[in-house]
Amino acid sequence: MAMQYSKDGKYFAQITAESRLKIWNTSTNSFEQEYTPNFHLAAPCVSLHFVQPTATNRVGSPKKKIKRKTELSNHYVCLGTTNGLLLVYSITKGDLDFTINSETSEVINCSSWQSGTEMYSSANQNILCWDLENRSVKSNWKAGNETITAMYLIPKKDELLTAAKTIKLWNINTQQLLKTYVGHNDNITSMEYISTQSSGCYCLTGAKSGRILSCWNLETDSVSASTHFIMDDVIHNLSVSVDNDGMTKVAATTRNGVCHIFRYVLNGRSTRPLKPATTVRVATDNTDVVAPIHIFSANYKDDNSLMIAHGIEMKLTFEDVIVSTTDKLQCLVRAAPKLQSKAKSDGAIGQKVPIDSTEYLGTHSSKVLPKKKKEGKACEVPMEMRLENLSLNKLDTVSRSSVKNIAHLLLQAMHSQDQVMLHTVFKNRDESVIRNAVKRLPIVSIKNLLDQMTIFMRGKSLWCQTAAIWMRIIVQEHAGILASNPSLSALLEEVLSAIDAKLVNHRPLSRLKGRLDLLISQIEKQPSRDNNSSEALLVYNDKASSDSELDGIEVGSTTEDPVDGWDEDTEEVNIFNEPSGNSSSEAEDSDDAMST
Amino acid sequence: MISDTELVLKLKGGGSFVKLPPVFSDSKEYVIVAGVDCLYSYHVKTGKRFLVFKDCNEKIVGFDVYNLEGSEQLIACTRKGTVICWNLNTAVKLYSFETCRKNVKKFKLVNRLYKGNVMQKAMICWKKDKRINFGFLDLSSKKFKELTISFDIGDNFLVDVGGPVDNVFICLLENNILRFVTLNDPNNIITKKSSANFTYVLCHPEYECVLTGDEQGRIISWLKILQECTKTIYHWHSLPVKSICLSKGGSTFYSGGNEAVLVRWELFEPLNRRFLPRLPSAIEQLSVSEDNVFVAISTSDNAVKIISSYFDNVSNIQHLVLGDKFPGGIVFDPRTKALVMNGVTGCLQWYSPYDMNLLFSLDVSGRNKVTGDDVDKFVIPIDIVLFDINQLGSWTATVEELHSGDELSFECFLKFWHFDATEQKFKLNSSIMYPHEKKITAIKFQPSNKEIDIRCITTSEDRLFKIWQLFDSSDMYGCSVGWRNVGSGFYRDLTPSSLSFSHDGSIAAIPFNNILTTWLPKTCELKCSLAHPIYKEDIKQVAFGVGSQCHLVVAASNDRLSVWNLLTLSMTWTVRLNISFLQADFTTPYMSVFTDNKMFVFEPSSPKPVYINKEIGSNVICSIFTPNRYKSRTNGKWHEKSQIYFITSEKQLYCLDTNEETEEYTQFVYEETNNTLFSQITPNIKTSAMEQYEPIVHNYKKSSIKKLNMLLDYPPHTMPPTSLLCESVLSTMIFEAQKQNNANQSDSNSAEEQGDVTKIEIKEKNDMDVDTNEQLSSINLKPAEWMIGLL
Repeated sequence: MAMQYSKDGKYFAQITAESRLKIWNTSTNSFEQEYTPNFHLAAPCVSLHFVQPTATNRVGSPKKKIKRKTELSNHYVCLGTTNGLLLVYSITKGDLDFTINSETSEVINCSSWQSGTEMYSSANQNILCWDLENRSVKSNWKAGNETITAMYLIPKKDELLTAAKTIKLWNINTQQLLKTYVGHNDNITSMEYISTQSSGCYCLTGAKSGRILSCWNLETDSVSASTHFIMDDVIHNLSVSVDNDGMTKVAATTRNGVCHIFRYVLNGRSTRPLKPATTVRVATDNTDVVAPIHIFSANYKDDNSLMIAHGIEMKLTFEDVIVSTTDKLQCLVRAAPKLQSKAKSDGAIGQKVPIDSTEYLGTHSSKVLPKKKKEGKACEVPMEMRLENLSLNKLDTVSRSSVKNIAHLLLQAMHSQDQVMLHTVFKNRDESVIRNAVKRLPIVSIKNLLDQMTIFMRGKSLWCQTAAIWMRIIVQEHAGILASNPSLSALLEEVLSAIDAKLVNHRPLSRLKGRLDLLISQIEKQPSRDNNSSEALLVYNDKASSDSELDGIEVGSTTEDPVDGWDEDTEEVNIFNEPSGNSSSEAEDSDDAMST
Repeated sequence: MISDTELVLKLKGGGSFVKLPPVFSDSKEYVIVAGVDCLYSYHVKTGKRFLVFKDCNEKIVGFDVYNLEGSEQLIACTRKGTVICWNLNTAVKLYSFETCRKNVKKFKLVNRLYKGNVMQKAMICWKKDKRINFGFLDLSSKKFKELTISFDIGDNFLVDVGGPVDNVFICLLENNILRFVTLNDPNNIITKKSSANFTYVLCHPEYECVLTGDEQGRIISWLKILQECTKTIYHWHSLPVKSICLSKGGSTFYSGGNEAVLVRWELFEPLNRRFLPRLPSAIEQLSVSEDNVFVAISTSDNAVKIISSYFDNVSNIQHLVLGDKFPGGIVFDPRTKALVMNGVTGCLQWYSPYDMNLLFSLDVSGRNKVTGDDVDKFVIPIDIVLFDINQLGSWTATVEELHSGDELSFECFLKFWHFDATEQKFKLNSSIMYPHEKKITAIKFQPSNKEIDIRCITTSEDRLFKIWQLFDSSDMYGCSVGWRNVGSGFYRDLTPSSLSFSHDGSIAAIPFNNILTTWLPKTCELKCSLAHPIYKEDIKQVAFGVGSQCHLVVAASNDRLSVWNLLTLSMTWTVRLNISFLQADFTTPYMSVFTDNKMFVFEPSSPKPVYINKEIGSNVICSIFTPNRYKSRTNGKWHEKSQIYFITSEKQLYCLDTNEETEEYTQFVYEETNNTLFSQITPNIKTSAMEQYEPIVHNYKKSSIKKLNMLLDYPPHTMPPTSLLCESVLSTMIFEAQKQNNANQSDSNSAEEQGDVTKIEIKEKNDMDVDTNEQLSSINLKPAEWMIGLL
C-alpha cells in the first residue's frame, strides 16, 4: 500500500488495497479526493509519486516557460500500474490529466522525481525515464537482473540510486553503473537520501522483512553499510530531515503503527546498531482500556516540523507533533478514531463548531458551581436522612436534632465535597441553626468552610445570599480565631473580591431603584388626580350626607335669584338623579320655607 | 541607515473577489473570478486555482469569455479603458487595445449567444464631464466606434445593454428613473418611473426585456418597452435586490440579496420559485454557466460557491474573509502556523499565508447572524475586539464587546478557549461576563512553556488591570480546569493603555498615561514606575526586548519612540516619530514601527534602524512577525528568521519577503468541514475512470417471441420436422414487423395534423422502421438458402 506526502506537506496520497487513490489535505484534515482508475482490479496501481512543478524549476526560453506553466502548474500524482502505464492525476483538476504508456507491460514498482519534468521509474528490471511534458518515455535501460523495488533520484546531481537486494548508483546521463552496495538480504522497500553539509551524503534503506535500517556512506569507497538503526518491527515508511548543525533526524514508521525518531550526527562508522532516541505512540484513553492508534506515516516538513498521520485507514488525522528531546517514549493521547456520528447540520460553511462542554461563568467569577447531578442517577439519601426517617419521636426533638445533625452533615459534606450534601446543608437559612452548626464546628475545619464559602460567593446569587448569612455568622462566632490567623488576608481575599465584584452594580442598581420608585409613586399619584377631574357617569348622593352641604349653596342661589325659570331648570336636571334630586328639591322647598 | 532593496512586497491574500460576477468558461471546466487587478481561473469541480491573468495593473471593470475560431478567450477592460485579451487555457496575453477612454464604468459583450462568424462586439460605457457615453469595440476587426448617444447623469447610476447584435438596446437607471433606448432609433428615449430606487439592472440578451431590482426587494421585468410596456413584478425579497442573473435560455432567472437566500424564478410564472436558503453570507454576485448546469454565487464573506442547477453543492472557492476592520490585529498561532484574524462578524479565522489557504474559522460569539440593511440600524452585532493565543497554542482568549452608543447597553465577554489535543477541537472553557466595567484595552498571555500555571492579563479603561489564572477546578465529579481572577492592580487612578510581558514572562510592563510601570504578574506587585520629566506624552504601546535586550522596554506614544532600561531605570534613547503602531517580534530582537509613510525595523539596543521601507506605512492597519519557514538560510539579516505580514486598509495581506523565488504555492483552497460521520469518510471529489459497460441493446426486438418460445419449449420429439417449422417462424417475424410498420404509418397520418415537430419525429421513426424492414427482408432471403441446405 503506497503512500506519500507531497513535497510541501500539504497533501497526503495513498493507494488503498482495492487500488484506489485517496488524497487528503493535511492542513484541514479533510479527505478531499478519491480516484478509481480504469481496470483498477485487473491492472492495479502499485506505486505513487507526487510531482509538483514549481516556479523555480522553469528554465529556458520565455516561450517554453509559458508552455510549461500551462502544462504542469500544481500538484500531480503519478501512479504506476502493473501493466506499465503511468497515470498522471491532477489534484487541481480532480481528475486524470493524462496517461503515458511505457509499452513494456512491466510492473512500475517505484518512482522518483526531484524537479523539472523528468521522472524516473522502475519497470521490473529496467529503469524508465519519463518526459512528463511531452508525455513520452525518454529512455529505458536494463539495470541488472533483479526487480527494482526502490529508487531515489539524487537532487542536483545526475545520479540515481536503485535498489533491489543490492543498491546501485547510476549516472543518468550516460546510464552507467557507478557503484554497487551490498548488505541487505531482502528486497529494499524504502530509501531516503541524506545530504549533510559537514559529513557527506548518505543513503538510508529499509528492507521488506528486516527490523534494521542501513545507512550507506555514498562518498567513501566502502560498499557496505556504515551504520544501522534498529527498530522493533518492519519498516513501513521513512522520512529524514537534516538540521543546520548537521543533526540528522529520521522518522521511521513501522508496521505496528509506531513512529521511531532517530537523532544522530552521521560521521563515520558504527559497529553497533543505533537505537531510536524517541518513540512516538498514539493511544486512546477515553474508554476503560487503553487502545493504541495506528500511526500510518510520519513526515518531516520543510520547516523541520514532524507531521504524523494516525487513525484508521478510512479516517486519518494529521497532526504536527513536537517531538520530545528528553523522553524515550512519547505517548500522545487522542480520541479514538471511532467515527462519532454526532451529526450537526450547520449552515455556516467551514466553521469549527465548538463542542458544548462549556462552563458559563457569572459576573466577575471564574468558576461556576458544577452542574447538578444528571437526572436518572438515583440520588443517594444521606445517612442523616435515613436516621431521621427512622426516628419515631420526631415532634419534640426536631429542632435540636437537626441542629446537631447539620454540624455533622456539614463536616461530612465538606469532606466528601458531594454537591448534593453541600446543598442540603447550605440550603439552610435559619440563623439559629447556622449559628449552632458553626459553633459546633471544629476549629480545624473553619478554613475548609471558608473555602467553601468562597466557591459559593463566586456562584449564583441564590447561593450568595445563603453564603452571606453563613459568612456573617462565621465571622461573629469565630472572630478571635480568624483574627489570630496570620494568613487571614489571603484567606478572605477572594471572598472580598467576590463581594466587591457583586457589589459593583449595587450603586447603579439602587440608584435605578430609587428613580423607579420615584417614577412609580408619581404614576400611582397621577391616576388619582385624573379621577378627581373626570366626572363620574353616575353620582349617587346619599340623603343623609348630602343635606348639610347642599344647604348653603342652594340657599344662597335661591335667595339671590328667585327666578322661576331657574327653578324649572334645576328640576329638569334633577330628573336624571331622581332619588336624590327629589329629596334635595324637597329640602329646598323646606329651606325656603324656613328662610322665609 | 540601510534601505534594503532585496525585499519586495508579496501579496499573500485578501482583496475582494466578489466585486464583479464570476464567469464560466464555455467548456464549463473553469470559472473566472476577478480580483482587484487580476483575474483568476478556478476549476469548477475542485475549486482549486488554475491560472492567473495578470498584466492589468488597474482596476478591472468588466470581463467575459468568448469563443473565437474555436479557442476560448478571456477579455477584460480596466478602468482606464485598456481592453486586454488572453487565451483562456494558457493565460497567454493575446493582445491589448487602448480605447483612450478614462473612467470606464461598464464593459459588456453584447452578442454572446451568437457563435461562429457573427461579429463580436463589446460595449464600453464611460463617464466624461457628468455625461455618460457609449462606444462599441468590434473584437474581430479591433475597431472602436463611439456612439452619438450620451446622457447627463449623476454619480449613482446603473447601466446595462442587451438584445441581439442587430437590435442592441441600452438601459440606464438613476435613482427611480429608467431610461431605455435602442441603437436603431437613438432619438426615441423612453423614460419610466418606479416607486422605489433601483439597485440592479439586467438586460435580456435576446428579447426586448429588462429586469430591475429595487430597494424594496422587488424585481420588475419590463417587456416591450417601446410598445405597450408590460410590467411584471416578482416580489419575494424583503431587502434590496443585490444581484440578478438570467439563465442562458432566458426563461429563468436567479436573484439574491442580504437575506443569503438564492431564489430561482421562472420568467413567465412569477409564483413558481425555488429557494436555496442558509447560504454562508449575503449574496453579492450571481452567474450561470453556458448550459445552465452550474450557478456561481459570490457571497460577502469573499467566497464563490458553485452549485448545480439542482442546488447541490459542487465546490467552494474561499478567500480570506474581509471583516469590516481588523480590531484585534493579527495573532500568530504556533500550533497551526497560521495567522489569526477577525473574520465574519463574531468569528475568528485561521489563515495559512504559506499556501494562501483559509484553514477554518471559530464562531466565538455564537449568536445569530443579523442580516439586512434596515435591521442593523437597531441591532448591533457583538464582535470580537481583542484576542490572544498563548505560546503553546493551547489557549485562546477572546474579548467580545458590544457598544450601542449609550453607557448602559455596554456588554463585554471574556472567553477562554482550549484546544483539546485529544479530540483535536476547540472547546470553550470559561466565559466571563463583564470581566471589566469598561472597555478592555489589551489582553496578553504570560509567555510560558508549561501547560499549567498560565496567566493572562487584561487592562481596561476602568483603570484596573486584572490577572487571570488557570486553576484546577477538579472535584469528585471529574478533572477540569477553569480561569479565575486572582488579582487586580491600579496605579494612581490612571488608565492603563497597553501591556507587554518580558520574554520569560516574569515581569509585565503596563503604561499609565505617561508613566511606565512594571509589575510582577505572580503577586501583582509594583516593581517600578518610570516617567520622563520632559517627554510627557501618553504612552500608547509598550514592548519588551528579546534575548540579550530583555532589559529594554520600548514605549511608543503618538509622536515619540523611547527605550527604557530596566536595570538602570533610565531612558536610553528616544526619537521623535509620528507613530501609528509598534510591532515587536517574539523570537528575534527586532521590532518594527509604522509611521504615516514609512516602516522602520530596529533593535531596541540601537537607535539606528536596520531597515526602512518608504512604500509601506500610511495604510497599514495591523501587522505581525512570524517565524520564517525556511530557517536554513542564515546570513544575519533581520528577515532571515522572521517575516513580517501586514494588512493594508484595502484589506490585502502582504508579506515582506526576499526577491528570490522560494517555492510558489498557487492555490486557494477551502474545504467544508462537516461533522457528520459520512462526510468524514466520503471524499469531496470522487472520480472513476472505469468504463461503464452497458448491456448491448439490439436494434430490433423480436416481436414473434411467442412463436420462438414455442419452438424452444416443446420437446423435440413432439415437434414437426424443422423444415416445416422454419418458414413459419421466420414469416411471423416479418409479418409482425410489417404490421408494426403499418400501424406506425396510420398513427403518423392522424398525427400529421397536430404540428410540424411531431411530424418530424414520426418521420424519423418511420425511417428506422423501414430500415429494419429492409434488413429483415434480406435476412429472410439469405437464411432460406442455408436452411434449405440444412434440410
